[in-house]
Amino acid sequence: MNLRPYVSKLDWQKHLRNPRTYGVLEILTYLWRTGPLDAHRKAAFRWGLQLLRRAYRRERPVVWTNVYTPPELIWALGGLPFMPEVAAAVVASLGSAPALLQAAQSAWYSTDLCSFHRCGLGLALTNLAPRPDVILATGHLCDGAVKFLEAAAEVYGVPFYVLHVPYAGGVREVRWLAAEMEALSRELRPLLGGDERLRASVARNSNLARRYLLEINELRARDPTPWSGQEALTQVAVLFMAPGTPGGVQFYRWLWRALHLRVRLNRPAIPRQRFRLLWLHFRPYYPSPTLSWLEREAGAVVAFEEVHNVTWDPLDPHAFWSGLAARMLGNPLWGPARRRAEQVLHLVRRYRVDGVVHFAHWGCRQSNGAVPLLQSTCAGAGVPFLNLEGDCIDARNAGPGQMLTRLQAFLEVLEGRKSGDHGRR
Amino acid sequence: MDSAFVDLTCSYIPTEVIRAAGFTPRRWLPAAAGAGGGLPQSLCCYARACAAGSGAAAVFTTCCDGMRRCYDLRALRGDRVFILDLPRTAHEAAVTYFAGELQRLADWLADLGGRPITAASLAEAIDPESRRQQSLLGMAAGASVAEWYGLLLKGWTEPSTAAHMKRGASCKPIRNGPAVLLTGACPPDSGFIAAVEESGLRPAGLDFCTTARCSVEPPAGRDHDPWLALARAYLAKPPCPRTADRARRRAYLEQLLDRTGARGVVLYAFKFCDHTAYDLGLWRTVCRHRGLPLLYLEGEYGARVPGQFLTRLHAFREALKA
Repeated sequence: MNLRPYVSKLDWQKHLRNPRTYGVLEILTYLWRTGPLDAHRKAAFRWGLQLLRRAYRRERPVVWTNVYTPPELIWALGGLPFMPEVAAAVVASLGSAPALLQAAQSAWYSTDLCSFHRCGLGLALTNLAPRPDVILATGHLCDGAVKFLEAAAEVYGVPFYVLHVPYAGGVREVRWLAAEMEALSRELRPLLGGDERLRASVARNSNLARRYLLEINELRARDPTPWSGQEALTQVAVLFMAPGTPGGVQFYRWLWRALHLRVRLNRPAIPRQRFRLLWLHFRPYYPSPTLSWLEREAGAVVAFEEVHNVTWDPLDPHAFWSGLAARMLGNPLWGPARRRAEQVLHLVRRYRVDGVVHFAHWGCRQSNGAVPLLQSTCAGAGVPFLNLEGDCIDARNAGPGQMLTRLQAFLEVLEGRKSGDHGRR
Repeated sequence: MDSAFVDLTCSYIPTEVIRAAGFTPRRWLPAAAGAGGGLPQSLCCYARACAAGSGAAAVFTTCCDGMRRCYDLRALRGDRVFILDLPRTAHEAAVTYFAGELQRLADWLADLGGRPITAASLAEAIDPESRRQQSLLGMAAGASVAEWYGLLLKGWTEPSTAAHMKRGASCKPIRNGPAVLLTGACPPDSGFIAAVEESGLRPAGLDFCTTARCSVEPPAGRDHDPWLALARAYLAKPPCPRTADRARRRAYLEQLLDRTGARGVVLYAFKFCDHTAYDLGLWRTVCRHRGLPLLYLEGEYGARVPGQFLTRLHAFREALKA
């Protein structure tokens, strides 16, 4: 369903802020006939529309937060999570990011800053996004997330909280972070209303979704892989926001069924799979031919991407906060970069990939800064590594021609290794 | 000889702990990184410069993504490095956590061959170290600010020399130019301060991590535990742009402006320093509120001051005089 031509003709800003827009679109999704192979897409789309309708209608207090904050935290607190970085990706996919990036630039936000964050600030400055009641930043992953959310809190004049996530992940740190989250939940309870019953329901839904995700990841290890990386990297939006809700469970259940069926019928999403790749970081979300060319034309399928790796244990409703704390501390993208490098090697082996591509998003210091270590780790293991420079949101920072040239050269290396019998197969 | 030194990359690392372990702390302000420093060019130039070690052990903090990655790179090379997790706020739980981090630092220093630190030995190290810091910050009154700043940097980076004891002025301080506050997340070299003075502006205050933000109030008697006292004192020191307590940072900036009587603000940033880039928003708000002009300059760590800076500083002075 390509909405782009319609969106460009509408006074879309006005409609974007209107909850009825999402209600109408939700109704229209009933006309969208899907089969078992794509029912998950409809589930994801409908869930996203529901979230936006509820947020614009202010059914529950809206909590802005950054990606990699476990959404279960916000759901359990009683809020509706809204992640401006995810919204930035959606806006970019509709081709509307430049106006928001311009809004941020006009307010003196440097073009050297991460475009996810600049676009998120653009959403705040233009008052397009659902207005937050509270903004909560978690201090892991990157500095930019904390600072841009702090700036957004200033724009809206709403309370801003930052949850410090310890750098190391021992028992002391888990206990400390769990206590911090518990204190936060007590403080926010009058506003958000989270309680024990809600936590139990969030834990149950989260664990169900996790179980399906584990099985999905198992299916993706098959050769040929049943899912396309392009779609997987789009559906990270669900991973970031839906776990902990019935909608999240529904999406992963449908996805598991679809992939299971694809494996059974031997109908992979990408028919001709010459190479298997591991993808690090995200992808360009603006209209770009890169991934489609890579997978469909060049036959180099993204077998797996690090973001979907399940690194956390099921949540125990009776030890909810320590479970979430352990999950945040166990995120391989946080802490020393060698943890991420170890995960990369683990995924290389598990998904039997031919090469690793790191998408070097402009302005992402934490990920790009780890490239020397990732490169040397992959070189040590004899795995070809490509650092593909580009931008996930701002098309002006990336030349598609240059990206394709670099990918072509990389595939030639993979081809050479294969013909020299150094490959996996 | 280098084994006696411990290089520090952030002003939130308590030098008292390093002294108590029997090492000499020194601020690590290396030469600018070349193209092959090891970290990508899209990281801040100070972080890239710190990727080159001096041979001494080094302590990093989680102050920014660049420094974290610099730590990773140096750990990969087998350098003796430690990373201290730094909270962004100064509330009670953060103080407790940071005190635990300081004890972890002490354990690492002991592993390096330092003296084991007890509560008593730490308490003993606090006062002399506070005095040393205050004497550095208060030295060389009467010199030009650039000269004072140069001596101060020498005092931080070469603590074994008596450079910080040098008194007197070799050039006259500027008394007549419009007073400006110089600020930024990272430490500029003295050439930048000299360029400000050359352009006829009078630096009435320097808000950098090598100047005003080094000023740590000696721990008061509230905590019996010296670890807690030290953690509290450091988290309560003048907040840097990295902290996530905007109200506190804003109050600090307002106080700085009141104290210095600055008629304008020069915000100096290193390219790709996200903290300063976001601090610009706060400075704009503060300056707009007070009707003060703000000049934003973006440069590179350790690079010569570009001619364009002088032109812009001259123009800023003219604007202040008008």
